[in-house]
Amino acid sequence: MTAIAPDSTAGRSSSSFWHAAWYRYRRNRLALISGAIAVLILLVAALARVIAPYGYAAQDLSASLADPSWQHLLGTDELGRDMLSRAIYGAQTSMSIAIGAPLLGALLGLPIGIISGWVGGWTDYFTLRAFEVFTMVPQILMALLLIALFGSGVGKLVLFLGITAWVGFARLARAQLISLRDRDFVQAARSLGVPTWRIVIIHVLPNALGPIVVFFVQQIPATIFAAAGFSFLGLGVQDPLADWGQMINDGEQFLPLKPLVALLPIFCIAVATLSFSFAGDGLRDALDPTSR
Amino acid sequence: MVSYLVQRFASLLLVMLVVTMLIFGLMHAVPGGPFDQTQQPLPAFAMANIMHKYGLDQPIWRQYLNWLWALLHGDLGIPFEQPTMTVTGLIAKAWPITLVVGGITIVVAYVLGVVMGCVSALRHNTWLDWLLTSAVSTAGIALPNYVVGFLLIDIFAVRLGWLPTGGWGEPRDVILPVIAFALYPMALTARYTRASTLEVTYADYVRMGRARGLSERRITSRYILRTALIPLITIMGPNIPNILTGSIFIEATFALPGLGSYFTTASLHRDYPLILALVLIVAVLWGTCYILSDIAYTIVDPRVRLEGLSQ
Repeated sequence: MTAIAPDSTAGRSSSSFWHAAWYRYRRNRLALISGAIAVLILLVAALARVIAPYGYAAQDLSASLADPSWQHLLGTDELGRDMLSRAIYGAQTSMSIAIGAPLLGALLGLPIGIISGWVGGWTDYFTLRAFEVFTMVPQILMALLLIALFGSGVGKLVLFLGITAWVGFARLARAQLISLRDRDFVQAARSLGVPTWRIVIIHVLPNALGPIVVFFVQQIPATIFAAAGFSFLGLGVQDPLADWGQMINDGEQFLPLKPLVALLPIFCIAVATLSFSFAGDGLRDALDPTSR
Repeated sequence: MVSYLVQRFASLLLVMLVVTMLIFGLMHAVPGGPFDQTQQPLPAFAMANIMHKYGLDQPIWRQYLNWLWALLHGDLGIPFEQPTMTVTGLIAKAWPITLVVGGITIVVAYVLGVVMGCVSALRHNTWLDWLLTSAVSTAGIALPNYVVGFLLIDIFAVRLGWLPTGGWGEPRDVILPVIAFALYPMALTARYTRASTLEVTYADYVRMGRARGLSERRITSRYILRTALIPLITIMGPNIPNILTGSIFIEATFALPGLGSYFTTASLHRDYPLILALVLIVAVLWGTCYILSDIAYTIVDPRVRLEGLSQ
């Protein structure tokens, strides 16, 4: 596996690498099912407007906290809003944040990590100190100050969580670059006079892509938790927009009497977290056959 | 090793300085001040007096230096929220509660996590492994800790009435918060321990030990577990400061008067001295754990040597 070196076959061997990874992933039943559910959740999120029987804000106060019926398959919440529709729109909000924030973190962190890992020296020293600064600042405090400064909302939550997520991506890219920097195929490219940017983009990055993809998928459940945490503090997505974390908060008080109002969003979060976690584990095992 | 520690310590101090500056700048950039009252606005001269008393009328770099100077004298200032106390006093009152819950959580999470991970690895592919890995570890990572708290309260306090819904005072008040708080790190530890133990179980030197006729117990304790537990330092190190400074989510859910809630109230009320004190606590704890885990590595893994910046 480590011997995929020669320059001219780089493209072909990397595609066979992904083929082999897909083959290994397919054979892992838990990962396959989890991956399918994760994709399904993303589809539901993307098509919320088409699938949901009602709007997320459509109220029917005469049917407040109704039990499941043909009209409202999973009942209604305190304001008589259809729970099924809100869970579907909740997927849209929660998934936008859960995918958006790591995406922003990757966009910010990967270039920083790549530069610091490749250049080394003082650049690397100061990047490492920057990692420490950002790890030391309590995340909640930082996010609260940012929310106080800029306000809240789906886009802004993505921004705040993305800003705190860059460190992980930068750290990972740096470690990958350092381990790949001195390998034979990089030396070979260098001695052939390939420009640095080309070496990094064409020869090094594809080899580092596996761990980065795995880390990205693993960040999704963590971001779902973080976004739910903001809702808990009342600083997340604001009513009437539907969000799983916020639905749990609103429904929690009805847990003894109308458990479904709280249990539905709890179930949604649990399914989403677990499917992305297991899909991430499966990806890790598929992309790095030496790990167990 | 000594030169490494000195360098590490110096760079951590530098990092802490930058952290406090960053937070200082950020919290002063946030609009609104600590003494903005919505119901009964103070007359301008009274406001000016208060601002002067707390040094808030000075330029921001001056305020930072004042804070740093006071800090060097062991003075963290007065919390604007409760002006009759000192920040040190406030922390001394709230932190022990968080430390008790956090301390028990750490013990429960890591001891049980390691035991569960080892057991399921050593009984790989048996029903016990299946139960521990899939049931327990999965339940631990599925939900945020406060949601676990909601469910625990609903089941054990509301429906069964076995335990209180929250509050602080009796020893049994600790039980539910610790379960909710410990579940996630425990599940994570169990998963990591299982993976790293499995990896070692099939290593050549373990097979070698078996070939030499060592007892199974000796192989497990000296050959497998000793190596398998090393990577755990990496997961535990950064988590311990978080657990010891408390979780606003756990403390709010179970109505614990601990430190965690100040992280939100302090920043909502622009309580500058309290915010900085909390940042400082986290930074110092984090730095300590960082250095300790570096040292721990050299103890458990003889291949690791700590060197200064010479390369």
